[in-house]
Amino acid sequence: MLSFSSSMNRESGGNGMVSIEVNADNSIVQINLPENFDFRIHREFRAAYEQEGNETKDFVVNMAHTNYIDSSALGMLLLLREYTGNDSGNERVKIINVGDDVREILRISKFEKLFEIQ
Amino acid sequence: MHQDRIPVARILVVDDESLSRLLMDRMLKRDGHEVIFAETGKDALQQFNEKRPDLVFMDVMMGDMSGYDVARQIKIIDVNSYVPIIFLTSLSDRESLVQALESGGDDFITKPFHYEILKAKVRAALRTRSAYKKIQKQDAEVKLLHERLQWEQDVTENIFRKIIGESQPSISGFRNYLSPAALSCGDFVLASGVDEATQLFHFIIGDFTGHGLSAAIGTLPVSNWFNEFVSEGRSIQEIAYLLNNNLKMILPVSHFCAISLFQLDMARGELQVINAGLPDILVVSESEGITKHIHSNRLPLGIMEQEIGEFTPQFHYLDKGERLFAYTDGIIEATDILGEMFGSGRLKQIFENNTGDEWFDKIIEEVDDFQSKQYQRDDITLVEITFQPELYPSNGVKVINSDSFEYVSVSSAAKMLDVSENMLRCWIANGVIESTRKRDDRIVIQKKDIYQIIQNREECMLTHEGEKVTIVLVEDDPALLEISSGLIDELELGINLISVTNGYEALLRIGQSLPDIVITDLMMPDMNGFELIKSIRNSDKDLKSKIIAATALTSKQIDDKGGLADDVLILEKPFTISNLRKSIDNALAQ
Repeated sequence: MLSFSSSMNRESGGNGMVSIEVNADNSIVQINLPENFDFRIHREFRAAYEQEGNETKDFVVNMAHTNYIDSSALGMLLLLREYTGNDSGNERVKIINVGDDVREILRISKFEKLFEIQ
Repeated sequence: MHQDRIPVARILVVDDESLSRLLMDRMLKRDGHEVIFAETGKDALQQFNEKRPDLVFMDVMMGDMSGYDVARQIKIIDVNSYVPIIFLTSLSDRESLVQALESGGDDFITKPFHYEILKAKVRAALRTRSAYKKIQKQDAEVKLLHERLQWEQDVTENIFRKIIGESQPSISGFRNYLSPAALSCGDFVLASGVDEATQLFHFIIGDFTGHGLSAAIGTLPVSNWFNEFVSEGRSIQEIAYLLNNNLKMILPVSHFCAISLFQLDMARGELQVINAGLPDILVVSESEGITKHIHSNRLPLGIMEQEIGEFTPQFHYLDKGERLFAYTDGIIEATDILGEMFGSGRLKQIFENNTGDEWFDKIIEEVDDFQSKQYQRDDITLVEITFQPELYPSNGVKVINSDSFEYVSVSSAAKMLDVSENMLRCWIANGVIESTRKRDDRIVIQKKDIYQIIQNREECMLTHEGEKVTIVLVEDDPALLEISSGLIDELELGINLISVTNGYEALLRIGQSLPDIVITDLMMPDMNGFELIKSIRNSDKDLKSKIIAATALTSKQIDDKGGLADDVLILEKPFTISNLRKSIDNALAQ
């Protein structure tokens, strides 16, 4: 649905493991995750969305490079969901480019109830 | 860095030449250092031990020992606090410089030297020493912290095992394993006993998000809630619903609990399962391998409030000898050194290559071997239950699950129980069944209590089916009760005898069995025979039970205590078998 062109703003997050892209009209924030989405990046992940004015934006979590997530990663996603207001039925957090292993973990936890997963 | 500010240090100068010592003394004192001297190797070691300098200047050539040997010995004494040694040397050949460093020296300075060079060397050496000290201090702190954490973990694990682990009942066919640290990391297994009346067995396996104490702490309330809910006779649907809401209240947003709840009818194999966020539960048979995967089909608990309808269980029937395996993600996600996961394929192979009795131990063994000890991402928690109906004979009782935990009014309770409202009120008044007064003053009864009574009654009817006369015998003295029931048995009238030891139980059994005759003692503690008879007479107009009062009281004594109705027969105690027979015949003839 959303295409992030190369002209998008790219910001490096922390040590470069988590990066952020913002679309042209600054309404959608895409968070690109590293290979391992686990407790070690919880600070960076949080910093990626907790920014002035982000409360009303939509979020896209890009897992194209991610092949491992642990339960604290699921917790981080829940925190992001809470940040956007927790509205069931009007999910403002989308998870994209989900690989098979990660998809299985999201399936077991039934996270498609809480997030739009592509 | 301020070039001129050098920290003041205590410096040991080891040199047998007095001129050299004088020179060093002057230069070092210019910077405010405290200078101490040693002229021989032996003296140097003694000074080092006593004065503990921050830095040592060491001459290579001395009378008694070489500077290299002294340096070596100092490094042996000084294992824990790094004291730099700088060699003073007039030699410039490569060999001796190498030897100076290899014997433990940290630097060297070639004579003759300039003050500025010495000053710079001192500064550099002290800088290294202070960095070393800082690291050492941090290292000690980390070690202490780690030890404390380890200690806390051990203590916690100990407490948890006492509260949760060791309170587990031993159930034939049920096995569970939690790896040493699993319990204090948020994994748990809870089991109720097998209910004797229903043969139902409840157990749960769960995994709180995260690691360590913050994950583990949630198991304590869950353990309490589980025991409470099971003892209240709640279904796993209700238990899951209540646990979810309770956990939602106490857990932070990022934390939740993946859990599976089970109710197994140990006699019939009917299995109800709720899998909320745990890996597939497997049903395995020796002949066919894995026969069923029970997938997770709902959110883990504690994430969001949900209606009770969200927790409909999945049903499955186990065949005799089939085994069920449930586990937390530690087993599938166990990782080896190369980062490969144990996976469900290896699990399947274990089932194929071993006999059923070996499966449980083999899984633990192989997962343990597979994952490298230093890279353990998760702990192992495994549960096995084998369906062995031969161990749990069916007692013919229909299992009734309370379908909700609502209360019902007295009149509908009476309808459900098939007794008159008066009889039910009599039960309530005498504590046979519990009632609750609602805020609007209505008296209500919990459904599960009603089911309990219906169940008991069905049990009782099934046992005594096809018999002719039902007698309830009430006698508080156990010895007399035994003798009396023995006499009644001897009559060989095909009597269905229900003997009870007090008035309350009598009322309950009378309401359930609608006996032809009630034989009661009059003098009993709590509710005596007079009260019991009154209650029976007042409770239910349809109840046609004849009443025989077995008593040693004289008729005057009976009248003094308020008397008995005309239709109550008196049987004098102690009675003979023929007197008993006569009373029963009279009662039946009425």
